[in-house]
Amino acid sequence: MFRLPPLVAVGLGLSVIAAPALESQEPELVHTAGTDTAHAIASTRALEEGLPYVPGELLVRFKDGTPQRQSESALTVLHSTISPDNASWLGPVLHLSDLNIDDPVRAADTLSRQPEVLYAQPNYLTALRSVPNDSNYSRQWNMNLINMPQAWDISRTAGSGVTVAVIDSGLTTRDGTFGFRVWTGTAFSTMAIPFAKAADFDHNRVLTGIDLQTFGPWQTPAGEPLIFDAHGHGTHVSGTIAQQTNNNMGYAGVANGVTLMPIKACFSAWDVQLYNNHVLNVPRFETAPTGTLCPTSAVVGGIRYAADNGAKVINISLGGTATQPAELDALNYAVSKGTFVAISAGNDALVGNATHYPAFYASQIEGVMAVGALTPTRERARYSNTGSYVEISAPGGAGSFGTANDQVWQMGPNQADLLFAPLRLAPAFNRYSDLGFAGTSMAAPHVTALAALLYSQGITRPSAIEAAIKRFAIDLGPQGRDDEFGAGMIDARATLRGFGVAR
Amino acid sequence: MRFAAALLLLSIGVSASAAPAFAQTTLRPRGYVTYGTTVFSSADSFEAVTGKSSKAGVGGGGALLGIWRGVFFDVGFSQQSLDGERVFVDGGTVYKLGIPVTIKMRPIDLAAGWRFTLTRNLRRVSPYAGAGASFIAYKETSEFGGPGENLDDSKSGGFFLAGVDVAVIRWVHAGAEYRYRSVKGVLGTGGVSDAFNEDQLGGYAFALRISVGR
Repeated sequence: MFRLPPLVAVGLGLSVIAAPALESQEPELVHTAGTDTAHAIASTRALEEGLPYVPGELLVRFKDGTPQRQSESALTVLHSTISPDNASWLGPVLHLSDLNIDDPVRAADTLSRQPEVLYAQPNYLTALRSVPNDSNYSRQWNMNLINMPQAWDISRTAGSGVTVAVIDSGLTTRDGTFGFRVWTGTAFSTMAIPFAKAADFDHNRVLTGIDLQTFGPWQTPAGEPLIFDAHGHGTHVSGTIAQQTNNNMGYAGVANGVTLMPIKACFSAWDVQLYNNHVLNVPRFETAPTGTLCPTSAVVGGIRYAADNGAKVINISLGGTATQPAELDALNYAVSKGTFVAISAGNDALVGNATHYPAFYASQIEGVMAVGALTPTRERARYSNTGSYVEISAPGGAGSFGTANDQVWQMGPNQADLLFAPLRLAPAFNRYSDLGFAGTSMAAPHVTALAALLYSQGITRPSAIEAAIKRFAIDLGPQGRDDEFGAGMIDARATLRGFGVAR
Repeated sequence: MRFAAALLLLSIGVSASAAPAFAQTTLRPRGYVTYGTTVFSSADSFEAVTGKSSKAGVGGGGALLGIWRGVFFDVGFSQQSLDGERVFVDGGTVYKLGIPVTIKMRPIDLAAGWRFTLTRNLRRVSPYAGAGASFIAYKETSEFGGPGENLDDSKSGGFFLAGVDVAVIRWVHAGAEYRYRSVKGVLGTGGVSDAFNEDQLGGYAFALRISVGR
């Protein structure tokens, strides 16, 4: 008989796995800390086979009050060995990995039918959705569109004292050059990969953050966390929220006084390759993914970590089309802890407009908002999902239907330095340049940042933040709420200014 | 205080200058000053923004008695000035936003009414009641407003007053007075008054009144 791991003892912290022994070379090699190797291997398989979930993994929540013995009994339908080595708790959700199951969707369905089970779902890989664009211009039309210059007059501290978590592809928070063992096509070679803190951020107000994605976390030779954005999405989103402002360089951030908490929950190609080359000694170039993917387990863990560690606002610019009850649970938990959440509504309007999760859950929770994207002319961006769950709109850029000027611009990792093997044998994470992205991913951080400004101003209840943002939105489309724009376009100045008696 | 002093001087001036002219008639002009408290009908709205649902202040005016039997005309002025800060209201919870707001209200009340004559023993006591119109100038200003967001408007509505005077010494009367104003059209279409579904700019006031005149 197996035993479920104790709820408190397991959590997110796992034992340190040292990197394979290598000949001593300069620079010193980095290490991974606490990586679940089976999870990483399964995720790699998902990438190779284009699976929408991590094979062999499930997330399950038992009904409240279910005795452990009955919970264990319910899991027998999986016909898999379950032990603390392949089971860990994410709050009330049990993350099972390395299961002997062929089809996680069918296994989750079978498990869901057990009387002790509240829900079970695959560990989905949801995607960050943005459309990169050439970066020759720096034009932040988005700030004027939502009346930020006047809003900054009101909120002079721009959110100082409020911690905002960004659950995304990360933000590079360390300087240094570290040795990674990489595959050159013919042999392994230890290469020096440079890192530099994300440019145009005040790193006195950036927490070290946490790496929850599959192919990490990394440690420097000195044992310090090495968190980096191997894609640019997380840096861009963070920039819209908190890019350093009035510093004669780069771009402005909406809530440029907040403290950022980067939570790396998504991985991209270099995350996979560096791990597989350096840790697993797999001699190959990764060919997938082309974008970034985010396991549900990491997203759920990130939401709970943020809520438990003082974040008052969370940005989630990711999603997919599969239902995510574990994420719904986590969102409810965050709001119960007094944390507001903004979620991108999805970029699939032109390819079926399928309902997007976890954005769909926003309309069920006061204090969580699903955000659609607008172009510079206040039109719904053509890619921006529509539906009953769209609650608010914010600048997201026109994407491929507009010019470079019509995208949302921030500073981000130099994209040429992240070109994938064999174009580059090793990436560099130490140079930053203009980055023009479009997507609901870019819209959500505007709402996140406005929420932080409101929190700083004294509106501290998530449901009240949502109510304020909706109340002062500029109505677009048909009068009143509609499925294209929700309550309309955020108006930062009006929202921060609030009510007098008559006006 | 300057407003109160001006009203006092005005009331004395009205009665002093007018009295000789009307000495040969039955018309009896009076000037008066009041000090009292106005309780706003839109109490929740004012409470949310200014922290007060009522406001003490001075007023003044003039009355013309002896027109025909107990008929009188009355015109009164007052002013309330309130400071507060802009807010957001959600589910009855008020969140202060730290943006100063100043509100000035200047009601002008016009009324016609009747003064009652009591028994011989109470001849020095004079109850009265009247009704008419109230014109309220309302000004609300705060920082960071866009066009049209700082309000300077005036509207009129119904007005009622009732009170009692006692002749203290010759030409000087002291009394207490109740006034009620009902003015719509300024509140209830925006701001916190919209959130609270309050549209009455007026309210009721209790005041002490000193009149000078015959």
